[in-house]
Amino acid sequence: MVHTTSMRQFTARLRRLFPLRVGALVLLLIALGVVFLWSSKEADFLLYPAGLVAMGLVGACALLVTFGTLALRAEVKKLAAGLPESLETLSATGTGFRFSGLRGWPLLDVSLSWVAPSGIEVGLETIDAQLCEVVTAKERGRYTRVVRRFTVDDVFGLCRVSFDVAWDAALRIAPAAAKQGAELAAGRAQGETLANPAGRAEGDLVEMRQYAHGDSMRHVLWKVYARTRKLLVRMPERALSPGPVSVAFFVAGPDDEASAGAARLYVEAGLLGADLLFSADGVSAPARSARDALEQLVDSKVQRARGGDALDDMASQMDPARLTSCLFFAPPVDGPWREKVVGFVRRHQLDASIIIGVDEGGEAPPPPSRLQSWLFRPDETLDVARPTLGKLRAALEAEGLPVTVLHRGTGQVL
Amino acid sequence: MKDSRAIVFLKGALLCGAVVLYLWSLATPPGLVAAVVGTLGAALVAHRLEDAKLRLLSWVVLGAGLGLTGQLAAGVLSAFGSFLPPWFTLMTADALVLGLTTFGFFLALRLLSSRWHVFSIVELAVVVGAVAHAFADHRHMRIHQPRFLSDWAWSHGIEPEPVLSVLGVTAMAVSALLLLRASRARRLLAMVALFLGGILVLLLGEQPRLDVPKADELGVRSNNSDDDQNKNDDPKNQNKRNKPPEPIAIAVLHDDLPETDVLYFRQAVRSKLVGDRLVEDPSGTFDSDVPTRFPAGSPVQVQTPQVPEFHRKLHTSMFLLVDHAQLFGVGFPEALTPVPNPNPRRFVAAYDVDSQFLIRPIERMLGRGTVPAEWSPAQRAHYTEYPPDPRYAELSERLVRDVDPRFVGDDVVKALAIKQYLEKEGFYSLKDKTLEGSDPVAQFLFGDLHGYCVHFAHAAVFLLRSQGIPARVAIGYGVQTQQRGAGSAVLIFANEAHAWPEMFIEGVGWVTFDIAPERSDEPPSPHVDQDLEAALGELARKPPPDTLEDSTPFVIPWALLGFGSLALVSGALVLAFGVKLVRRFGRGSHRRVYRAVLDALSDVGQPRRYGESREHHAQRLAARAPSFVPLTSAHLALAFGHDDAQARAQVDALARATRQELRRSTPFLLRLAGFFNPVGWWFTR
Repeated sequence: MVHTTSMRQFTARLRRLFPLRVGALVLLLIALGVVFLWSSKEADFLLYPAGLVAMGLVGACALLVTFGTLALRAEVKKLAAGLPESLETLSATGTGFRFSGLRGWPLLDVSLSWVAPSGIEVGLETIDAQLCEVVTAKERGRYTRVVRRFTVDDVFGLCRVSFDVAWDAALRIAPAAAKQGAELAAGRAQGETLANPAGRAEGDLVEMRQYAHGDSMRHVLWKVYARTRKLLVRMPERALSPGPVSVAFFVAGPDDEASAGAARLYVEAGLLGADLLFSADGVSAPARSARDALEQLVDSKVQRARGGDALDDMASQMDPARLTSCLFFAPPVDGPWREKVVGFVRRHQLDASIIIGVDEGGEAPPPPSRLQSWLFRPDETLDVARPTLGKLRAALEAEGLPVTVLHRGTGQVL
Repeated sequence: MKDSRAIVFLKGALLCGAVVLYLWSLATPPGLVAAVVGTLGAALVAHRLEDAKLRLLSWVVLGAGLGLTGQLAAGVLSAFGSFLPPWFTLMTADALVLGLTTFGFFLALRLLSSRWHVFSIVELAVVVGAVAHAFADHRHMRIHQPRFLSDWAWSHGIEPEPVLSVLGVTAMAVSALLLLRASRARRLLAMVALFLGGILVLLLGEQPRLDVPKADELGVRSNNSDDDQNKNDDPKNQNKRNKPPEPIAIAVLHDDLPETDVLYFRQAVRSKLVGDRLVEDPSGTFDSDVPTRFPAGSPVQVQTPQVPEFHRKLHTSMFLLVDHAQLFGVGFPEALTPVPNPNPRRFVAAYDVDSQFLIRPIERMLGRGTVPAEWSPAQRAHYTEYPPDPRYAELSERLVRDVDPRFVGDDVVKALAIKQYLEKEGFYSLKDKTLEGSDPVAQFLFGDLHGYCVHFAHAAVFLLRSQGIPARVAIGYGVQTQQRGAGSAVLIFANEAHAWPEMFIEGVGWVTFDIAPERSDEPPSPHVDQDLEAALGELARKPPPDTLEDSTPFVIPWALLGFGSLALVSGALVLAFGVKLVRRFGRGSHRRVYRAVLDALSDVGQPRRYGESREHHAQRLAARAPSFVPLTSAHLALAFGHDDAQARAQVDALARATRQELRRSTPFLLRLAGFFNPVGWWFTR
């Protein structure tokens, strides 16, 4: 298997370095046939030069692309990574990486893509006669190495050469936050049993009793004493939960970027505190600050295959008696994580609810007609979760878990 | 990378042009119009569908289905439309077939090429092929075809081939548009570069040469290989049979043409018996009368045994269009002299031939012996050796037995008897060019006597030799004089390759003794295109370029080029400064005032960048020209709001202020450079 993979990689690399594309080979073959077979047999004075031009075209393009690639490689090897420390998904960001892009070379085009990390759309903008990189990340994550792929091809599309250049650079890609609307879910997560997070941990001084020996003179209600001549002191209201009682948990899974965006909105809303914690897959210690929570979100990408595994670790970090409610940010695609979440809620008898973030909203389009399905392929760009989201929602609600589907782009609850 | 609409129209126009070229001589006018509409429609529909997630196979099937529907509809119309006028039925059917077929074909092709670039190559081939198809008549060295082109070229003093070559380059360069995608920049540059590159290739490269005709197994060259011949029997390949023969040489006669039915251009002779067939004598001892070497620099002279009383001297000039390993000349060449090639791009070799041409009929040679007394025994044995098959002698004895008793023992009469037998009993057919077995001549002679010239020549030579008559096989070209024009140029075609026997007659020399079978299944050879013969003859008679009396060496006109370039640059500068002045002192509209300020900024290298809004531009320059910010705001307010005199006056004032600020904040040298910058306005956005 290893051999097959490495052989495949080697072949792919060779293919990237071989300048002639299939079209060029076909054109060359036709031109050779015309020049050396047809024209000498038919004495065709029109096709003969046309064939020569075609051969020359392929040759010139191959030479230009090859030498252009060498020149570009020499240039970009000297350049720094030019990366910002942090990017955000879904927003086009200029990275600061700029190069000449073979501007003086005739008939050549240069394009750029990222091999690693994957899921990055790369565009090039011309500013001051230089090509400037603009990237749009689709997925969050944390990386230490960036591999860019430079592709040089001719304007006729006959020849193409690609080469990769790697830079060691730290890059953090945070999920784009959802637009508002998540407070709705947050409000639902705060049950009546929760203390106001703005209050003091030991509770507010709202109840009274008769003065007893040892009470502080500061707590005596002197106005009451003046009116009634009874010496009363203020005592603290009984605090229901001096420790954390509720937790929001991000379950990593397939296509979870929109849910991560909803979670980011939640953690950045200032709700986290002493009695409301946040945790995500991949970590055991819950976060108490928005900053830590965001880092957990970023790091959770690598846990997609193990979504929900960290729930028990998180529970073990806190007093089970005080863990009364839980808000889950879950991926829109069903998976093993569902069983883990349901089991966790049941074991701890939690008041739980689930928020699922999506990027594609509205009703799924009607199924194509027979003629349409014969003539057109299904739209693969549509959210893969949409067709199964309804089933997932029904399955979760059947387990007693209320589900809120939040559209990341608009903040609408679907 | 979706094409812009303009590019789609251009590509559609290219494909329409190709369709017109293909169908011009085949389709009715409505059919042609329908084909053009179908092609253009296909290009537009394919453009619309480019973004759709198509199942390409379905669309290809749909395209093929449309073509079939057209055929079907036309068939139905023809079958059941008897009540309609015939012209209407014909034209409607034509329009239906061509319209739907072209629509279906090009829809599929365009969709495929939008998905896979390799199909753009097919589109390119379609277009270039259409142009080549339209000018296909010129092939096979028919330089006078197509008539409209060759007439135009010759009337302008140029040859048609360069025109055709430029057409080919242009077709290729323009068709390369089909390879380009809309987002590719520098399209025009690419096309121009391709065109110029093609012209360079033309200047540096050579013109195509025809292949040397292949020799068959018995040594005769022909432009029809056995495979081709077999293919020609297939009715499906009838068009190949119509393929015109290749011209391979032009002979210019400097003397009157002698009275003869066939002009024999001898190239080589085969006299040495090896096994069951004759080959060229490799020793050089025999056949010394046949020139075998190319005259490089000096003439090649051979000792000819031809007796002058029976011959006439002929002086001809030969111009070969195709390479030949061995040169040839009319009659019995005795001297070959190189001459300057009048057109090296067309002719591969040029030489003069002095030859002896037999002018007496063979009947006048009766009674002469055939083996000269001065021949050595080896020479005698060489020319009279035949395969050790007793049937040759038996047959020849049987043939000469019945001659007139008055001529018994006369070798010439014996030869005539053999010739008569072969001509009467033999059947000329090119279908039997290959014979299996070790002795093809014996198979032919003692078989059904079906064969071609090589068989007849070898059979005659062996029969003559079996009677002790020296003979050999000559190979070359036999040109029918009845098929040619009246001019002094003789065009030789590859299909005139021929083999014939030569016998030696004492006191005469070698005599051409061709066998002409009475029966044949070959069609008569077509008449020679006299226009082509005359055109090539004219080209051959032209003096070579370096011997033109009025020719002067080509000198690059540097002075003209220099003054011309200077004039062009000066003109461009005057024009650029004119535009600059007109724009700089523009008054009236706020747009002109604002544009003049932008020009001033461009002159000093501060134009608005690509993608930069006007507001950002103004903000970027706020430090250097603070008034530019309110000027921009005022300009935009006027552009998007109401125009009034007060606002315009404000714009004028702000523009003046901006210019003053710019003057103060710009270094003197930069201002000076800006003043003399003629093209700053070009970069104003």
